[in-house]
Amino acid sequence: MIANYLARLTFRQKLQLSFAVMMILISINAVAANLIMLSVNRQMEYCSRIERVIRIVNQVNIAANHFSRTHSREHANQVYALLETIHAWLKDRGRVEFELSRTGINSQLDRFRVKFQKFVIERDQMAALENSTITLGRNLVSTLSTMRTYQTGLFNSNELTNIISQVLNIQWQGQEVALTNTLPAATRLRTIAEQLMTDAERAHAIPRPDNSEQRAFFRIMRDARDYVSMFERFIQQSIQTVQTEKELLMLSDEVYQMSVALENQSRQHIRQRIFNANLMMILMFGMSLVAAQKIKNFLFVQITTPISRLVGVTKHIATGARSVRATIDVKDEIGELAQSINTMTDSLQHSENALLQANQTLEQRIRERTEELMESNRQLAALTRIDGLTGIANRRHFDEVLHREHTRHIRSGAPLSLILLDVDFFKFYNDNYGHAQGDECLRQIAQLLSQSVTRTSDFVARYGGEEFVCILPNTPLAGAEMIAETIRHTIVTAAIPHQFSHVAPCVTASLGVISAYCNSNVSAMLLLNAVDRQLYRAKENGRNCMASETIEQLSKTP
Amino acid sequence: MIISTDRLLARTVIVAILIISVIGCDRTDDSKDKLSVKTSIIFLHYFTDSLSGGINDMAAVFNSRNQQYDLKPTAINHESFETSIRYTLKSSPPDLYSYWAGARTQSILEDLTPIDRVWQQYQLDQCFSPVIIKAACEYDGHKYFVPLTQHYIGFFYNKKIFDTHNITPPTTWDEFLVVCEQLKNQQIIPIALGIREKWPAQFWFDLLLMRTAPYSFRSQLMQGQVGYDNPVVTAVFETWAQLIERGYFNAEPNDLSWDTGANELVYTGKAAMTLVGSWVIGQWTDAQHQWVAGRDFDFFSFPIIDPIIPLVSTGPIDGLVVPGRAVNKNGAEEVMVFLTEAAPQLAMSRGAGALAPSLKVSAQEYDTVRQRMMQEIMHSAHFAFPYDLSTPPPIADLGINAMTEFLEFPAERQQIQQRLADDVAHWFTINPLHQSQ
Repeated sequence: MIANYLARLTFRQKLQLSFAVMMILISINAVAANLIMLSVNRQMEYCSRIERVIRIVNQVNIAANHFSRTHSREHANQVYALLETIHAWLKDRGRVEFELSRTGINSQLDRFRVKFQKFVIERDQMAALENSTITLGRNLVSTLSTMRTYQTGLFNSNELTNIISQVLNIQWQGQEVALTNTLPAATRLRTIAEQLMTDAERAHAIPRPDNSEQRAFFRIMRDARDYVSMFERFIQQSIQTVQTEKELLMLSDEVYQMSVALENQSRQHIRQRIFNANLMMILMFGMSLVAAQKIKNFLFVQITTPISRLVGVTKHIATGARSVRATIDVKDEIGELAQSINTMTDSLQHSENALLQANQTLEQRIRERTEELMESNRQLAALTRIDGLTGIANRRHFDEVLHREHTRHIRSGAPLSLILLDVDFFKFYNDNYGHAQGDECLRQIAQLLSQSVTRTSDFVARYGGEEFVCILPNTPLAGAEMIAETIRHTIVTAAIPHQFSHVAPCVTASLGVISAYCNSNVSAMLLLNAVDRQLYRAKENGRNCMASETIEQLSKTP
Repeated sequence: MIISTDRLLARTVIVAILIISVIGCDRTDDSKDKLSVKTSIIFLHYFTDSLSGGINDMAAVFNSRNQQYDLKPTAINHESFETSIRYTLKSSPPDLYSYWAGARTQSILEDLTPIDRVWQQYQLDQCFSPVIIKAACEYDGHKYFVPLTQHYIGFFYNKKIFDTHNITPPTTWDEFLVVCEQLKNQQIIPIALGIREKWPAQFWFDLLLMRTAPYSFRSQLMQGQVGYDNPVVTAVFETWAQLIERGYFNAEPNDLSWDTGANELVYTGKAAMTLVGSWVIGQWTDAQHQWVAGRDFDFFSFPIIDPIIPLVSTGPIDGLVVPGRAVNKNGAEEVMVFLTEAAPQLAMSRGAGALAPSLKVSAQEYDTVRQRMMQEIMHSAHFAFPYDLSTPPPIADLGINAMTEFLEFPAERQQIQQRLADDVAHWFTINPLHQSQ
């Protein structure tokens, strides 16, 4: 289907398509590259965020440790602020929070925050209780000091005082590190204080004459009770606080470990992503190369190949081949061009054929015309040798034939005879019967003459006027005299009336006859003169007769 | 046209690539990491145990409405708070303390921050009545204190017992004595008193003094201008001793706590009444006790002993002060101002069983008991802070110690009073600055 579609495209569309495909490829490459960069960037950013989280977590841990040691408000606030920062910061960045909550850091941080707040509160409470304990301890000491006078032996107030002082000293000397030192002392203190209370109560309960002593015991008991109860609270609070601190440290350590693990993980992710990105880039590049190759092939098949094929075809056609045809499968402009060339070649071939045929026809016609012309020429030539009036050969023709025969007879040595005929008294005929009758008479004489001379080699011609001549090749004088006699007789027999003739009532003719053996000494002119002389003799002899002579004699005669 | 189409395509592709490139660019710019991080405001207070009502509600209201600060209340045991604040004020105080208006605040003034600026800025004069401003907020001409609750000290009684024995709340001392006698005859302890924490003892001394001596005398006594050996003081101890001797109090008040002891006696019906602050409302109406004010319990004001003496109401005003060394003073002031609003004040007053000092809280918001309490205060000529909040703290300690001793040895009252008088006089001699003219 795609092939069909491609085949239907025009040349321009193919170029556009190739351009578009290349552009799309470039775009896809660019987009892919950018997406990869984006992804890597994201991961980097994510990693840097995690690093920031870790930094803050570290800061939190440091500040929390500081607070554990100094209990300074600034450090507590610093921790709060850092935790708030991390909290708000995480809330602001969905993905990191997601990742962090997925890994549990977030909830761990929340637990840390709650725990830290608890720790601070407990630390404040502990401090308050500590201060109160100290104050109450002092009160108790001062109460006891007023009691020195009331030594009852029931308890050793000196020992109590010492212990209290000792505890107070411990408390005062090292508020921060006091706890571990205080606790054992406090345990001792409590036992003794309880003993004190019991004793004081017992002493208080004993009725005495002097109430002031009892009141003193009451005060001791009261202050000791206050002190002990406060101290108990303090100890409880201390234990609680220490516990909380331990938990807090554990939590912070966990958070730290988790965040470090997360950082490693995210760094691993980055490495993985960069590796993937490289792979992807190479893949994309390879795909682009393949695609470019494909496009090249496509263009080659669709454009270059048809064109070169077309060029080959046109060359063939140019060198004269007409049967070759361009076979181009594509339907674009090149296809159309090929088709046009084919069509053009078709019509060229057709035209050439037609021209050839026309040429042949023309030659035929020319041939025909030439023949016709030759015929006409022949006829014309015949016409020029024939006497127009009588229809027999004219004087010119006679000259030619005589010349030819004279030459031939010189070669052959055979006798050549001539007969010269003149119509007797034709002047009178013509004058009396009219020229038309005269012409008719001449035509009749010619016809009679032709009938009389029957051999094919014999030749009859009008010599001029009323004179006719016959050439008799290969004929000796005897044969010629016989033919002359036949002619004279035939004319007489024809009996063409001529009233004005002095010889006969009909037309008659006088004939001179010669026969000659031709040689270089006997020319045609000589022959004609000779015959003319014979005719004259005939005339002399009375007309309607013949006079003859053989030229052989002549030649012997000078 | 064809060319332009191609160019358009090319341009589109180029622009797209550019845009994608820009998107792909490294954007790890941390400069816009300005986040609205809530600043913690550390708030140390003494509303613990049976007094803890309201404070966390108030903080919750604040934190839900304020985007800038995170109020972190820390409860310090009531008894150790006083010593604690004196220590931490000088070392590393929180941003806010709860504290009592009056002499207590006066005594730590040098370590507090005046809040005149925000007071002016937010016109807090319109928030509180001039009486309360004068008594609680202003010290040495400067504003230091923002009130949160106003309590009232009176007799809170088991209404069922009174109803059962058809007793009407007494208004005069004689009526009171009759009621006590009647209750005692019914094998009911008339008055529950628990002073294991010592300070609850003071209300008896204070109110007996207020009902028998002019207000001015009390002021003089508190400021050391009159000695504790004064006959008026003697009379107070005498009257008090009468009640003890008549057996109107429960035995061993020194061993009994005010809340888990005395208040419980009234709640369980073993005792009929107790002289206590209105914070008992918070305890009795909490989830554990579920008493209803006006149905299960009620109050009456301390009976009139000398009708000539103008009526004086008493009760602490709890509020907020900013330590001078507070880390975040501005934040603390903002919190203070915010807590003058009706919503937090009401939340606090409900949980604490107190009245809300802010005028923004309407009287309609109170139950009938507190409405009457407000009436009592309004009808009084004076509103006085309790004894330990009216006199310098060391004197209060001496006085309260004497009272506890008195309650153990009522017969020895003369010696006890004399000793007290001597100690107080001695203290004022040593600390003459605290002795006002």
